[in-house]
Amino acid sequence: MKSRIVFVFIFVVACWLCFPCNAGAQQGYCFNTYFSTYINSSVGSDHASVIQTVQVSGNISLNNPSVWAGPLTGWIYPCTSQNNAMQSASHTYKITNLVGSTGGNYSEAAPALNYNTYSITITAPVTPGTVYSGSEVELITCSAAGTIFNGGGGLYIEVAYTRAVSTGAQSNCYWNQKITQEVCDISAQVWCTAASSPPDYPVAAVSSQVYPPPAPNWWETFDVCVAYGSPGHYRPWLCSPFGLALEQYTALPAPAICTYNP
Amino acid sequence: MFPTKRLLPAALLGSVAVFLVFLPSRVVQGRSTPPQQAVDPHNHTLNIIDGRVHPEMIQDGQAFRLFFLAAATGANPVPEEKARQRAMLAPVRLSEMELAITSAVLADYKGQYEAAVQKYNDAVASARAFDQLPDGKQLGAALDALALAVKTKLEASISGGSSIRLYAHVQGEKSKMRVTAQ
Repeated sequence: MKSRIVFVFIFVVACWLCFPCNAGAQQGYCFNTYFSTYINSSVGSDHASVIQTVQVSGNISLNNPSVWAGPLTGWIYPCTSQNNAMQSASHTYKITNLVGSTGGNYSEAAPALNYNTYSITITAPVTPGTVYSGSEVELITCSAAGTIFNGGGGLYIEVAYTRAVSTGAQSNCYWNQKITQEVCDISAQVWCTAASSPPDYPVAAVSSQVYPPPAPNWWETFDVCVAYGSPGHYRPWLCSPFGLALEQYTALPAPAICTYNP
Repeated sequence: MFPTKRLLPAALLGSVAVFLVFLPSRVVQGRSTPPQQAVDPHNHTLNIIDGRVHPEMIQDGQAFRLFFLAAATGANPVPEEKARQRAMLAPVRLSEMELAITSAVLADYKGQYEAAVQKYNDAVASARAFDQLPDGKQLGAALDALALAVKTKLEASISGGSSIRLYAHVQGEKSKMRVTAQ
């Protein structure tokens, strides 16, 4: 009988020890976060600027779990005080949006339980082929619960230029009724000097008009590429799947000095 | 006395086992938490899906929501907004007519998005108790569904090739997105 009492006592103490650990306000326990971020870097229409947007959006939802605190206390709600604090708290959204020396740090505050979208766009002048250091950081801090989202980091960015020539093969052709043109993917190969090969922005095919003829026989292409390496070790550059292609119909020129930053 | 001597260690072991079963994950994670995170006891940043590493884990609804929202302008955009939109959509190689259609569809999308968010935030403001708060997770799902509906609407308005390029472009853009895992 005595041993049973000892067992029950130790069991209750062991269970009781669990509660303070669970009572702390934690993501996924007292609240869930639903945040998302997106950075978009695009080539400006002048091919000499990058338009970079850093966007963060989302909200949190509160939970109110109950925990059995033993026969003397009964059920407790360890998140109640946290939830009450949240209802009058605010969230500060901080964005760092930098390309070279353009941009900076930005922030705004919003009620903690609101859904909020915060977006910063900068337009940075760039020289095609030049690598710029940049960063995009999205940080959300809660006046009641500390940092609840932390994303982003440093990156390098460039507008990559590649000259490409048609190899003639056409695929994925379709008739665009709206502009009464036939458009095909025309296979291509890069046309760069040996010293600038392989270019940072590889081009294997370009979608171009083939009817009414003629089809272009070469292109000047541009794309925004980002890298997460370090100077001397940039590659691989991550380029958008479809860059800009300026269609050319003149005689084939000499290979170009394409953007090459290994 | 013999049964008692056997029972006590068993009770102790049982209690320890029960304690370990209920050991909260926070304590277990603490053993492998990097030092810089351990310094801040209020850092609750967990479970972020980085599209750079796992683009396949970012759902299309989330990706189109983020892309459309970034590309959309208001109903009466200023020249800077138009330039941003044109630059963002340039890789899709839309014709001028398609660009105008897309611009209008995205402006409408932005209006619906902001209306849904405003309705949610109004419900938050008017809630008097915890159980009156609107469902935060449900709003995210609704906004993702709205983005997919707009994608379908756009696909019906632009050429097949443009639709394919738009889809491929947004898939590529997933590498620049981060979302919290659900």
